[in-house]
Amino acid sequence: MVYFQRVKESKEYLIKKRGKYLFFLYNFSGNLKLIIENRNCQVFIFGVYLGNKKEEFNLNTFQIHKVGDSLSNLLVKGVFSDQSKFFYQGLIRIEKGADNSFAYQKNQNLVLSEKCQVESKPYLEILANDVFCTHGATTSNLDKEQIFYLKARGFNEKRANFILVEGFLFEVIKEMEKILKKEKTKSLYQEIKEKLEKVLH
Amino acid sequence: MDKNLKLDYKFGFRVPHKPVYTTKPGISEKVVEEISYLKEEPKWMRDFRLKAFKIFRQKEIPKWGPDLSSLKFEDITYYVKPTKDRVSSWEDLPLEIKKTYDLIGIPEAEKKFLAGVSAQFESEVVYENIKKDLEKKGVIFCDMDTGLRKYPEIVKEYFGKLVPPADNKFAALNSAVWSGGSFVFVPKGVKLNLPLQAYFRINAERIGQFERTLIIAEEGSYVHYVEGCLPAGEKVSCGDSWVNVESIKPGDFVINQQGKLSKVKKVMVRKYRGPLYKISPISTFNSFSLTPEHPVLVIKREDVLVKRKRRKNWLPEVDTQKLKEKTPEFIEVKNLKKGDFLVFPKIKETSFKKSSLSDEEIEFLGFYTAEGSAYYHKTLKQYVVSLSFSAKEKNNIERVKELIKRITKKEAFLVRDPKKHAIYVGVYSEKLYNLCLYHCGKMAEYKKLSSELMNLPPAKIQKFFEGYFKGDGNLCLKSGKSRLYRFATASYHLAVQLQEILARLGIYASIKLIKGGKDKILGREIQRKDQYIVAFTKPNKWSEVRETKDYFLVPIKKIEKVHYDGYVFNLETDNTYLVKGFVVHNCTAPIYSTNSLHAAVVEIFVKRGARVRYTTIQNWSKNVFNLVTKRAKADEESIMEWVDCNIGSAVTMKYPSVFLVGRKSRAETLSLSYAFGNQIQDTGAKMIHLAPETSSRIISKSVATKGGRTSYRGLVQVLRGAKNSSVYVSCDALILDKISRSDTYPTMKIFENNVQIQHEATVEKIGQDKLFYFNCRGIKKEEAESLLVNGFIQPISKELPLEYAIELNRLINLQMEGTVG
Repeated sequence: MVYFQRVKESKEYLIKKRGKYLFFLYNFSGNLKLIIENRNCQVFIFGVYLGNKKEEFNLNTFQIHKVGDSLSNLLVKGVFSDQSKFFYQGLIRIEKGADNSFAYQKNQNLVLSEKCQVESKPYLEILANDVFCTHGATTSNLDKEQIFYLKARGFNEKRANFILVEGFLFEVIKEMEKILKKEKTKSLYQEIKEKLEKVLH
Repeated sequence: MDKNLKLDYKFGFRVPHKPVYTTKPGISEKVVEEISYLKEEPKWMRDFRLKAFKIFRQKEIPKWGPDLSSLKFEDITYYVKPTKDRVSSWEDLPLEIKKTYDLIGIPEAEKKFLAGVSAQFESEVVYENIKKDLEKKGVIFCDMDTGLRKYPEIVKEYFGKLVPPADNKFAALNSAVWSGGSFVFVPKGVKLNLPLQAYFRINAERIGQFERTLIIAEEGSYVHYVEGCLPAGEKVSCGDSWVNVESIKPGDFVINQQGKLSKVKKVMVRKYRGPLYKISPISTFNSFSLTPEHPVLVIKREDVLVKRKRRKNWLPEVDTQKLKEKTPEFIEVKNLKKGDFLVFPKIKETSFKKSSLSDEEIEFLGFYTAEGSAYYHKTLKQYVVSLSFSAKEKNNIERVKELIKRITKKEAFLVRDPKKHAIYVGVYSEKLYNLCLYHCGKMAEYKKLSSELMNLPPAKIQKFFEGYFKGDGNLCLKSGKSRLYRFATASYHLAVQLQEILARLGIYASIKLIKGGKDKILGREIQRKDQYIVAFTKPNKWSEVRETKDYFLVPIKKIEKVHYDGYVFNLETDNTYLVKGFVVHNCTAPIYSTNSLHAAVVEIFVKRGARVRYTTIQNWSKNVFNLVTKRAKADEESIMEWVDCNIGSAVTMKYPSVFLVGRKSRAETLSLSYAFGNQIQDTGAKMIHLAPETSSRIISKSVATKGGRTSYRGLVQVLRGAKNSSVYVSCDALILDKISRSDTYPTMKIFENNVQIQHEATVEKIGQDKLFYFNCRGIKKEEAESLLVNGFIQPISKELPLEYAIELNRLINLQMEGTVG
């Protein structure tokens, strides 16, 4: 059984029961605080951000491991065009004694317009030693060589862009499908796709 | 004993120095004006200082990052002028300062591939030596004050332009009170293949170090500047002992002056060139060598003399009663004289451990230690313990046979060797073999007693001696009742252990070393190994040695001064430790009652096509706040590299930054930090991309151990217009134990779309699989851990000049050994 939650407001979640948890963020601004208080918990946080016009997103996440033997995995992907802005601050904190914790944090952003602004602050505070924590953050534009590849195969520029952005973004959905049943992600998929078409005009 | 000894003595080695001029502690407008006046500075600099001071007043201490609340600005002396004039040759330096540098080992460093040395001693460069070819090339390399005097136009153009006083509180403080630092100007197209180096050191108590460095690399030039703060740490500023401490690891126990165990917190090592004092007490084997400043617990003979006329060829006589009542004191080795009394504590194990050993076993082990050998007989597939006796020793043979029977319930067998006039008493017993091996070891030179045996209660250890004495001992009857007992052994360990056991029984034994060589026994030629003769007299003790309840007082027989060039070691324990049985004080880095501050500012201008590399190896002593602002500006197609290694200091906050203002400029920061104990290393880098096609790379490696805390704090900013820029940030942290901590606080602000920004960080401990790999290949855990840590930092250490890299590896190896739990 997987506990699934689409996060719509700032909240603090105390994870007390063992099991799998999945938190999904879609264009959510606010604080998401996850405090793991039991062993054998697997907590996944998946986020998709799609910004256009003058949209502005401000996301703060906290993955706090109070007890060891648990896993938390965050993946936030964003695509921004026009004058949209994205501010992300994420913290992984492993408290003293929470050995054998696994915590991952990944934030990848595609910046499609010159007037976008992206800030990424993936923080780590590690007070235990028997842990494995990584975080990564990348910000870049679409790969010109990949666009060229698609164009060479008969796609127009717009379509090529769409394919690449879709592939970039739906990695999140694919990851979710490994945990959730497909029916549950279907509606999300549709919702994101509609917006994506707007963002890419 | 406790009330008898002054335990509150705190020793720190510091070369006494007499500064010519010192400002009063604390900072005010007057102090700032005074500094400017003393330096005879132009008006613009004075105004600059005063303006900066106003900003310093207004700015607040940063609220983020490590706690700086224990920093007291009013306790710091802001300016010390050590010598009247600058000197240009080594010989002209004042003696005391030269001595400090001698200890640091500068002349040696100088001889090596250094282009020029500009050494900073207390806020001012007192010694500069610029090689002729530097001058020929038109390179300016001098201290900042000289730079200001000689080249005011250049200084005025660049000074404070990159790090304005308003940048932060500590930059403002530095701007107000700066003194010393380096000024480097490399003209167009000049490439310097040898690194420029400067040494820094805080000596006087509560003195801030506020150096200001300005480097200008003109178009197409290349320079590598090395700022080595190596010496200031404990590696240098203390007198050290070097006696076989190589093998001691932090976490080991040594015995302190009360005869109790004391944990080694740290082993310090440094290069040393100069005299060492070799002290030989009445037992010549127990002689030891120390650097001149190392304190030793002694009673001076002159304090306890009797009022009697001195006899011919006799040392002045002492009053035993006075001697016993006198409290021993710590005195520097160089002030000792022949005849002074060293303190040899009786080692006390507070509780004698319960032992499962029976009296027979103990006695047998005594015999075994003296005469036994243990081996595995391959053809018979049997474990053998055998003891060799001379054919005449009938009593002993009988006794051993009896003991064997009682212990193993087996009959012993006898083998005669008529050639050697020997009889071997042996037994096949795995149990006995294991017992002997565990408690005594094997092979005459390597025999060593187990701690269980060492800690036997006195009554039981007597048994051991009975057995041992019959084998290796000999008795020499002296006139009167006094008898001289002697043991001969080829094992160094055994000799020392016997001395220790005897001390516990209330007997002071002396050890003499007889060098090995060819010898004859009963007409046979043999190759004799080195022998240690342990001797004591009974019932009368060595006439010159006095005994009190807790320690023996042993007179010094000889003091020699020897020249030494190599590594010296020191231990940091709670208080004291024993060297060859005698009490010496533990000397750590200079002990300052208050925290010192190092707030430097470094500004670097890298012009078009130029390349500058700035290397820092910082090892300040553990009470220094190291708050440094470093900034570089990189013009078109230039390269700026920071190599930043932080090992020492209490708190370091340092984020070398580069403004990439020219097209295609490149910047790199390699940052290494090592936090041990209570240290906080808050380091990182800042990269500000302002121009297109710029690239930057930050590699940060940190190691936190024994409660240390490392933080990476970085900023990457790509501003609008910096098209096609790329940034790569990689932070790796190792946490070696449960009480240490590591944080990563990167910030990325991106205002441009055609960019590549990558950041990754990992935090981990040493991988079990890697350790396993090493173990499989026969490498011990500690060694493997050292290797892995050195491998972890290697991407950075390989960028250092050779001698620094070696030193760094050595230092980390030393701290690493046995630290990983």
